[in-house]
Amino acid sequence: MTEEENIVLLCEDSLEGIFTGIYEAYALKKPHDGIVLQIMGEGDMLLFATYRTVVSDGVKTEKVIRTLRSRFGEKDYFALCLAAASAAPDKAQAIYKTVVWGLSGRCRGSILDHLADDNVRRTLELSRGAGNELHRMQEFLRFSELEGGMLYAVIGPKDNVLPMLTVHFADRLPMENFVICDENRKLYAIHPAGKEWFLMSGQDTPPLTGDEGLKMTAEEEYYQELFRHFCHKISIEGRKNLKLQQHMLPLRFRNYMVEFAEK
Amino acid sequence: MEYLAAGGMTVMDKLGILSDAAKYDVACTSSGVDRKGNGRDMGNCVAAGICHSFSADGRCISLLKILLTNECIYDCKYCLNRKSNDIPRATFTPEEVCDLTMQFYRRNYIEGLFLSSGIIQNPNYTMELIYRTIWILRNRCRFNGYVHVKAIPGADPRLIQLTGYLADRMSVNLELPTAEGLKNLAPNKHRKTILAPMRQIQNGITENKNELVLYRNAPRFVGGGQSTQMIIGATPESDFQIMNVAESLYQKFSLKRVFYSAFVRVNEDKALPALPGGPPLLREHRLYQADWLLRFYGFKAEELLSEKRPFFNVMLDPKEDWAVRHLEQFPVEINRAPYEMIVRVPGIGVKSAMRIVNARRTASLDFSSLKKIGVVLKRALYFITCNGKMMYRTKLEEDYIVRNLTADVKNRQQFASDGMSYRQLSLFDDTVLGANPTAADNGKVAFGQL
Repeated sequence: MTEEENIVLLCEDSLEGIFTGIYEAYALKKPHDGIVLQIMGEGDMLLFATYRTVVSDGVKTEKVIRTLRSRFGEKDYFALCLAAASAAPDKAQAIYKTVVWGLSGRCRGSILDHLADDNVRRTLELSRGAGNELHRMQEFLRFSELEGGMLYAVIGPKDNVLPMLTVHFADRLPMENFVICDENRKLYAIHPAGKEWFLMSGQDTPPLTGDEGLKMTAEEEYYQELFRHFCHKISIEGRKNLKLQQHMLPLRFRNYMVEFAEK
Repeated sequence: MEYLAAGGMTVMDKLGILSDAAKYDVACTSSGVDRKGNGRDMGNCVAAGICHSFSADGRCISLLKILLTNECIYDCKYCLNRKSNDIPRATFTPEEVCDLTMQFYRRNYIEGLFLSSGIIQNPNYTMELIYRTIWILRNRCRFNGYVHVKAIPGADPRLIQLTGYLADRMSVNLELPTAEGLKNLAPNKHRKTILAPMRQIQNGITENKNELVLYRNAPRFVGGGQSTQMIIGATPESDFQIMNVAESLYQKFSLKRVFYSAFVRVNEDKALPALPGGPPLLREHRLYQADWLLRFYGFKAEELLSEKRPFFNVMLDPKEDWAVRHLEQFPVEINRAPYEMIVRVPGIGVKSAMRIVNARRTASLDFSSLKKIGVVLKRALYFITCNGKMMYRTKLEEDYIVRNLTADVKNRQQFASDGMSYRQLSLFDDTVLGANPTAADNGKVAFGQL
C-alpha cells in the first residue's frame, strides 16, 4: 500500500502557488493519478497520503507560464489564470488535471472545448465564475475623489480579480492617480498617473470618511448627489420591477455603490 | 454646494428634467466597439459593453442618458416633451454636458454619453448643438469613451456626417412601425425624413469600412453601428408587421439593433390607446425574444408568424412555439445534427450549441453531459435524442408537449403568488425518482387535483 500512496502537494492560494505546484507535480515523475494538488488550509485531510508543502517559486512559475502559453494559446492561458483567481477550494486540482489532460497529447484544438472531461468542465466553470466577477467589478466599482485629486475605490469581490481589474482601469484612466482596495484580501492596487501600477498587501482599510480617515473633496459629494438624482429620475414608474433590478444587481454589491448609499 | 447655471436653474434641476425626459428612450447599450486606451486620454471601450448600474425598473444604466433640451417644437402625441404639454423645460449648455460626462466617467458611474434631444428651433440648429457638444467632449475634454448620439431627421446631411466621425453609435428613431401610425401620432414627422439619415449613416459606415481597409488609421465613422427604436402598442400593428419591419431594417439598412419600447401612456390624448393593464411588457419581451431569433438563431420572420397567426403566443416563447408547430423536424440527434438545427431546439442557446458542437468532437454526449454544458433539459427533452435515445419516454405530440411546457408556467404563477414552492407538493411526481408522470398526471397537476 505504501508504494501507491497518494501524494498531496499543498500550495499557496495564488497563481504563483498553483503554477509552482503544477511544476512540482511534473517534477515528481510519477503517474498523475496519484498526485493531488490542494490549496493550503482547504479541503479534508486524507489518511493514506503523504503531504508535501510547495514553496512558491518565481522561476518555476515562469517556466509553467511559458509552457501553458505556447501550448494552449493566450485565450486558454487567460482562462486558466481566471480559474486560478477563483475562490473555490478545489481549483488547484481542477487546473492541474486540466493541464495534464491538455499536455497529454490526446487533446486537439482548444483545451476548454473538451467539456466531456469533468476537470476541464470544472476549470471552465471556475474560470467563467471569476470572469463574471471581474466583469461585475468593472461595472459596479465606484471611485471617489479624495483631497489632492486621487481616486479611491473599495471592493469586496468573491474571487481574487484585483490584478485583472486594475489592468482594465489602468487602460481606461491612464492619467489618474488611483487606488483600488480589495477589502476581503487586504490587497491594494496602486496606479500613479502615467506610470506602471503595482500591488500592495497588508494594513487595514482606512475608513473613507471621518476625521483621521481619507477626506473627500467637496465636489465629490456634489457629483455623488447628481448621480443619485440621475439614477432616481431615469427609472420609469410604470415599469417598476425591483426583483429584476436585484437579479441584475445583487445586494452584496450595493454596499460599495454611491447610488445605494443612505442619504 | 450648488452650481447655478444660466437662467437660475441648477445643473441638478436640469439633470433631473432632462434625464426624466430621456428615460423613454430604450437603447442604452455600450457594446459593439473595442477600443483600447491610448495611454493619454481618459477612456476606452469594451466590445461586450458594461452596465454600470440598474434602475428600479430593472433596466441598465450604462450611459449618461440625457436630452440636450426638451424645449421641443414638435407635437408628437405619445411624447412627454411635446409642445402642448405643460412641463418644466430646460436646455443644457454643451459645457455642462461635457463636465457631467467626464466627472461621472472618471468615477466609473457610466460608460459614456447617450445624447438625444428635442427639436429646438429647427432640426439643423439642434443637430449643430449636438455636434458642438460631442466635438468639445472629444477634442477639448479628450474623452475616449463611448458616445451614442441621435441623428435628427431633417437635419443637414453634412452635420450628420461630421457627427458620425465623432460618435461610436448613431441612431434615428423610427418611432412607430408603420408610416400610417406615424402620420396619426406624430404629425411633424415623416417616414421619408426618418429613413433618409438612416440610409446615409448606413452608406457612411460601408464607405468607411472600405477606407479602413486601405488606410488603417482613417477616422472611424459610427464604429459601433446604427440602431433604431419603435414604440409597441401605441398603434394597432400586429407582431407580424413589426417583425417584418425589423427584419427588413436588419437586411436593408444593416442595423445593429432594433429596440422595442412598450408604450407607456404619459399623455392624455384621445388618439392614444388606454392601457388598463399597464405597458404591454410581455409583448415587448416576446418581440425581443423573436429579435434574437432573427439575429443569432437563423430564423426568418415568416417562420415565426404569419398573416393567419399575426401575434405571438402568450404562454410559449417564440422558439417553443415554432418547435411545437414543426414537430416533423424533431427529435434532433445531439451527436450528429448540424449546428443550425441544434440551435433551433428550445432550451439550447447559441453558447450551449457551440459547446455541444465542440465537445462532441472528442466524446459522445449523453443527457448528463448536456446538463453540465448548460442545456435546459426541462424544455429541450421533448425535442432531442442522445445516441438515438430520448431522455424519458415522451410523445412527439403537439398537445402533449405544450401541456408539459406550460404546466410548469402555470404552477409557477400559481405558487409564486403565495410564496410557496411547487416542490413542496411534488413528493411523488418528482421526475428524479424515476417514475414518469403520465399525461393524465400532468393534467391533474396543472389543475391542482393531485
